[in-house]
Amino acid sequence: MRDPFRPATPAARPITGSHPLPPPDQTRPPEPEHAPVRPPPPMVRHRENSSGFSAVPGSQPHLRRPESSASFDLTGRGSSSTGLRAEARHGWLGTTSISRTTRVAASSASGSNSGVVDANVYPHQADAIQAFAALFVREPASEVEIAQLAAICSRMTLSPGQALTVKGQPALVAYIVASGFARMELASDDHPLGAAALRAGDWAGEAVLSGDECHAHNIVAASDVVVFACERDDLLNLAQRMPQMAARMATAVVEQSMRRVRLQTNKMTHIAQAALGLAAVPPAEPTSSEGSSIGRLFSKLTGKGA
Amino acid sequence: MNVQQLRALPGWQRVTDAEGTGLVQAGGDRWIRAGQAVVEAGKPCVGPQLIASGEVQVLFEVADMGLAVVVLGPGDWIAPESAFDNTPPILGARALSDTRTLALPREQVERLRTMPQGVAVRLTRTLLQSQSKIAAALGEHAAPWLQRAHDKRQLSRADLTDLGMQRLVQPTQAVPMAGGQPASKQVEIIGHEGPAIAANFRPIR
Repeated sequence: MRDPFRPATPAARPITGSHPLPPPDQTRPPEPEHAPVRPPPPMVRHRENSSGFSAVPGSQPHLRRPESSASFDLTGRGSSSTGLRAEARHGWLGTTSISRTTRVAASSASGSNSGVVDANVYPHQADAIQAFAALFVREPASEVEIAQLAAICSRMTLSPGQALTVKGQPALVAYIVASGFARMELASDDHPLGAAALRAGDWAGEAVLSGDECHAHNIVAASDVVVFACERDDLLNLAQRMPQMAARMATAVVEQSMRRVRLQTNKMTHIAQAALGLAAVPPAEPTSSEGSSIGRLFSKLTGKGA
Repeated sequence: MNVQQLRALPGWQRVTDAEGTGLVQAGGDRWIRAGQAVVEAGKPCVGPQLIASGEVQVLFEVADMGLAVVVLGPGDWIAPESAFDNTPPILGARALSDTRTLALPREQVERLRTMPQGVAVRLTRTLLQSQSKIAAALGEHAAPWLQRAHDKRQLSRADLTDLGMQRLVQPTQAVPMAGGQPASKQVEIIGHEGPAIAANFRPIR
């Protein structure tokens, strides 16, 4: 039986304008049926890798991409007013998938965390569908936009306690929580205090999107959490190509930030009200109701009714 | 405000004439005297306001006490959340100095966000920057608050003062007058930090 989450074969899904990226099977060499289980990529812990990436924002060089072998135009689709020209390059994607994950791992190691970068992100995966739908809950993004965003993301798995972002560290990578829970922590003298929970679709590392150089919050994994990591440079390139989508993404992040601010403010308000001896607002009393016919009959039988 | 003045603000240096004109014409200038409230917490707000000049203090207020969260300056947005949300703002804002803002109604924000030019990106990005600034500053204050609440079951007014809250309203001393002063003539001063300015008076009922 065919796995519904498994992408269709290239023969079943030819590359057309409606599919900006070729299916993953097409970008990778076929694996033997009983291929040995590959261990996950090693955690990158060095600050600077062999490619010469540094942690200084803005100084990160781009990897030289191989020559393209194919490209197609999406402008005929009608959804893009900016003349988006999506480049689906067979060899390009195949090598980029490796290069990108390496870059994200290097950036993450130098910036904040040491999670395992384990795969690419494809828009038809279950957690990707859920995460992107939750991220763009206000204004749903088009398939093309989601595919473009997924193309610059790398799947990353973190264990409880591992940090996604560290306050004051260079903001090189942003994360979209795909599954599991993360926690925003406030720095305290004794122990970190949980400020807000991040779930599927929540954005961690808003500094990457806003253009700030350093992260403003500590965010750690509260459970086994899968995140989609995207690099600052890739996001900026995407924003230049698709300004409407970038605006929608920023809107979503503002709303998420606003939700957390509201939560913190409510907590502080409760503390202050208790300290000042102000009575909490009593819950609204239920409105009087005559009840159902069975209820009225029961009340009549038991003699409690009017 | 005009496009040249807009270009002088952080985050808007590279705005084109068309984008800048569109933004400036979508909003309206507003002048606020030092000490006046720019945004009142819990009260309806038409939309975000871009600070063109002056300084504005964001305040967390409970009853008669307030906590200065952060000071915003030119290029920052006041009440950035009101761009997307109809609910009243949870944090108030008060002008520290004479301030000029560009008030952008929520409907205009929605219209600008759908425009194909880069103004949508600039607008949302600068809104995000201001929101992040406020959120980060509030986080700095929230940490000791939560820590104190965790350590001590019941906080007192002194604890709140220790945590940075200040009393906003100070009743005036009864002024001795010949023949006494009728209660209807008593006033209270809306206190504020900073240099002396003309105070607001209102009768105590």
